[in-house]
Amino acid sequence: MRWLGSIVVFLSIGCESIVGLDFPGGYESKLVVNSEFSPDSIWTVYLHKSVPYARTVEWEDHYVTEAKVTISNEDGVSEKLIHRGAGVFESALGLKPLQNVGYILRVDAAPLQSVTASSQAPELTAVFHSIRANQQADAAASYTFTFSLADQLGPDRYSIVAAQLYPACRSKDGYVRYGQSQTGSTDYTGTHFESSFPALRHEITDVEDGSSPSFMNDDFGSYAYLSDEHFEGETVEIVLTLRADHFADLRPYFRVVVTNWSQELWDYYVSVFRHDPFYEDIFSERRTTVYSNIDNGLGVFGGATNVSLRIDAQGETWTDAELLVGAEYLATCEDEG
Amino acid sequence: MPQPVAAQNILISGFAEDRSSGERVPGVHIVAEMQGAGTTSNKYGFYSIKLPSRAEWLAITHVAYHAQRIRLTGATDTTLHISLQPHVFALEEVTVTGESAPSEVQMSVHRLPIEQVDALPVLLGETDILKTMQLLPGVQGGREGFSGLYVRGGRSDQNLILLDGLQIYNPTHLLGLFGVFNASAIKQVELIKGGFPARFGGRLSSVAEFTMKDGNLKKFSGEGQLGILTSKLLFEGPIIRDKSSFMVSGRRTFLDLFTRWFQNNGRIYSGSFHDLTLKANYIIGNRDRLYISGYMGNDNFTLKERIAKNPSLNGDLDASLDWVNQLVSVRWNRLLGDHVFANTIVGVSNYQVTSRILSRAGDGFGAEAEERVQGSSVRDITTRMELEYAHGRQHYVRVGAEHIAHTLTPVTRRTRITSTDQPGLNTSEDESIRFLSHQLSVYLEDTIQWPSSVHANIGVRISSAVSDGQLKPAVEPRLSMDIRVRPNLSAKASYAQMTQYLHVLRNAGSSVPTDTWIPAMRGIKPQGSSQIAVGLVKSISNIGVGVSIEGYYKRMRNQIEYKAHNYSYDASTLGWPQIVESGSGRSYGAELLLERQRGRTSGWISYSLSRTNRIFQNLSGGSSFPDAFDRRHDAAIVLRYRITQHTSVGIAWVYRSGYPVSAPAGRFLDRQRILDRDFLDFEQVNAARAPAHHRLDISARFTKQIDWGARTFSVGLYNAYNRKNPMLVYPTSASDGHIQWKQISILQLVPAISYTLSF
Repeated sequence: MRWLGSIVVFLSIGCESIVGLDFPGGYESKLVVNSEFSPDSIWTVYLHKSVPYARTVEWEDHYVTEAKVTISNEDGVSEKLIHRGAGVFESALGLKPLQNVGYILRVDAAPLQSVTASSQAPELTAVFHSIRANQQADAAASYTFTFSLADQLGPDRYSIVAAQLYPACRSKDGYVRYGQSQTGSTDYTGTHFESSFPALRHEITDVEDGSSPSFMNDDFGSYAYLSDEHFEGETVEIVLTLRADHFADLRPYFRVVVTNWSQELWDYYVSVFRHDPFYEDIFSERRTTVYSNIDNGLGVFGGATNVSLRIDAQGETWTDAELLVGAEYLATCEDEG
Repeated sequence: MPQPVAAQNILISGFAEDRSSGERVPGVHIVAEMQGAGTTSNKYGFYSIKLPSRAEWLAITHVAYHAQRIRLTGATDTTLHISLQPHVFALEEVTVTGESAPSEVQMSVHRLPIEQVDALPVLLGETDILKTMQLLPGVQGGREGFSGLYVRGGRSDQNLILLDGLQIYNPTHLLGLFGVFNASAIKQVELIKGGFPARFGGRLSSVAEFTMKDGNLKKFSGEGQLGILTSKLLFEGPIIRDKSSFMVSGRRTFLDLFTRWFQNNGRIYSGSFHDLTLKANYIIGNRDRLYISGYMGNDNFTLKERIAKNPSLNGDLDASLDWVNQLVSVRWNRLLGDHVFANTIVGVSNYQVTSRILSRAGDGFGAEAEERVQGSSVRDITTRMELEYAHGRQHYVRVGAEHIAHTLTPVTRRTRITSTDQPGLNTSEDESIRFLSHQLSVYLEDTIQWPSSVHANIGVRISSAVSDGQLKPAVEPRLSMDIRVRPNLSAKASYAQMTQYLHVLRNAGSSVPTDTWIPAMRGIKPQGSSQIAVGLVKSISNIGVGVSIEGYYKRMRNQIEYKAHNYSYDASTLGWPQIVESGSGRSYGAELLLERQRGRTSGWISYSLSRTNRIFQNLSGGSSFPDAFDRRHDAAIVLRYRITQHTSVGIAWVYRSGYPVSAPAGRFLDRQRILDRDFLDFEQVNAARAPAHHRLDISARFTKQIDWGARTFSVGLYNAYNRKNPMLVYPTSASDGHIQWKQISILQLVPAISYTLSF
């Protein structure tokens, strides 16, 4: 229908003029909170304020640096976070959220309206079972990776992200091999996987959309989403077929991250995904506004719990530290060792 | 001791006819002078009234005809055909004697005299009844220049638009710029906005009834008009004098002839429409008359683009958009036992839209072509039977049944790819989704006149639809009441429940020909509405002015929209129920109308204050938001002044609050994860307002009688003070980086000129 639009434009050539849109009541800036928390990391809250749509903006000028940020748990124990600069507030004590504990955030940043929000990092149990090589080719080997997921009572939403270590080493000549990051250090790259587990979906928006069909044994790229709608409270076994790359004689090191999302964080990401396709079509009545659980504000305060299953091709566990993930120091390449 | 004798009633019935043409005339008021009882001829010109035998005089009035009095000579049931003498000049000053028009039960109704529509300023010289309707209170017109109808918060698909009893699905030409109704061929127009009688159903928000001229039974006559946009011809006359007649009218735009001259970056645009209206009737005897009506309208838009970058690489693009409205109906009027009027209609209506894109590319070694054809259609086969008769002095009863077989094809899609150098590439895909839906309705309606000047129309319509293996029945109670407080003051109230078994899904905010019609089905409930209205009507008879004020409250249920990330092409894999979501709507407001339909100065002043909201779970956070066609204030001044018997001027001034815009009010970030783009803070869907719309249209008509007829020269200006009204508002970045809003305006200071010969 693009040509149909061309006709309308054609009919209206030379009839453009600048106008003012009437927003009854104008626009009042709101406090925007970004705080996705998990038991893996210390409490961190990012603050800034929203601006009128038509204004030219340098976002650094709108970071909120003076605020009282308090996290309290359901027992009433609270901690006031301290400002680390640029509107980022952190736990001074290095405290981390706990699984299955409800937390309440309160931010006072006058003259903006005070905001509150609550969420928790849901309980998660995911256990590695086995890995088996399906073929010994050097380019596109596949591995059958099996783990179990123990679902808790109540609605839960999960994601699965598979990655493979992208190893880096330094040759005798001083060149970095394989490394993909700017520093050339060892890092992860997404790993394609297939699965016939019926609850898996390609997109986060497909999970609770009844219209979304099940893609049996499909290629999910490196991530998939699912809900426990059909295995409520049960322990299920999920089998992934990982497509691995081989790097010379290095064996594949895999990381499969299973995440249980809080309702708040899940709804936020669903809305972010749906917000995007209409970014240019700003007049669509059907556009989705970004979800927020921040009372009187915008953004999200939401928990998630991750379990990372780091397994190599022989079924051995490993850690980031052992393989120098992210380290600036690079080992000498084994094949040259 | 003498016993009291029961008052004896006599039944008077017959047809009201135009003396000069033999056309049957609807809307004629027939009032017994002394008793005050009265009735109005129906759309077929039939009337029936029971009076006490002592009644002596009937007063006959109609705005376009000389008033007359008829003396009743006998005390028995009588068939009385009324012959009406038209005014020599339309809408001339008349003096009405005797009783005023009977108090009408129906509220929220407007009847537009075609003579008045003809006399008003028009866009590009093309008389447009739909645009005139937009000037009535409670009726919105959508975006600048377009002919959509949005009545009391309803969407355009919620209007039951009937042409000689059959539904027209898309009543516009030229992407909505003009209505499909050729005013020359129309005899009567009636718009009902609330208090719907039980004989109407299937739509939520309005009934717009267009009745075609029957054709002159007495003599041949015709009319030809040359205008800027279109030219049209009309012929009518007897096939067998006083027995059978015909009317044929055709209209064609010239747009395609001059828009081909416009080229832009190798693109050639063209567009045109034409329509043909036909009607014939045959008087079989004293009791029977047969009508055949037909309409065919066709629009076509094309875009051709030639790409010739160099001799060895070239390509072209042909695109077209066509839409077609067709209907044909056979109607049989029969008098049963002199006083029961029976009407039977059988007809087919068809609406079809097709878009086609053909792209070809070649590089000297071979050529590839890709053709994509997409369309949708609605075909109805309608059968309707109606009976009406006067029962006693207090009851006028209507009963009827209707069956509509809908064949809806919301999606047809065909893709062909051919390649001369890669035969293996040749592919073809066809897809079509089709629904059959049967809609059956029966109704009973009684117009009751109590002696204490209280009139009521009480009715019930029982409707049902069978679609997707499901039966969806609905009971729709209807009530209209009129209480004559004083001889010239009436209080009115009405309640109506409506059910609509068809839905429209649209990809744009406004109504365009590519709208997709689907039936209610498993998972998609029928639309429903309940409307209550109250009002006062006062007639100031010494100056011929009527004043009415009405308030209404309407709730609409099961409104559907595509889900945020779904379109019609998802339907074949997911099914319609999975790609739409359901919500509700609410509209309320007050409407004021001052109207004068006759005299040297005629016209109306209208004002509406209204609010229309919608609620969808996944829009605006599930809270109520303004509908896309919500306009808080809507006012119009429409006047026609007859300077002499041959010269008249008309003006129409319109003011409407700006239309709602779903524009973002603020911006923010996700600082933790997604820093590379801003999120938009809408606060509420449709929270912003575009600038207000207002304009003044003026026109003048000069008529001269000549030996064999009359010639009329009309000139006018649409948007005479060159107001830039917004058709579309969009954001752009200014040179300093801030965002500013721009509007696109069309139709500024558009001249109109037309020349009409009638004989």
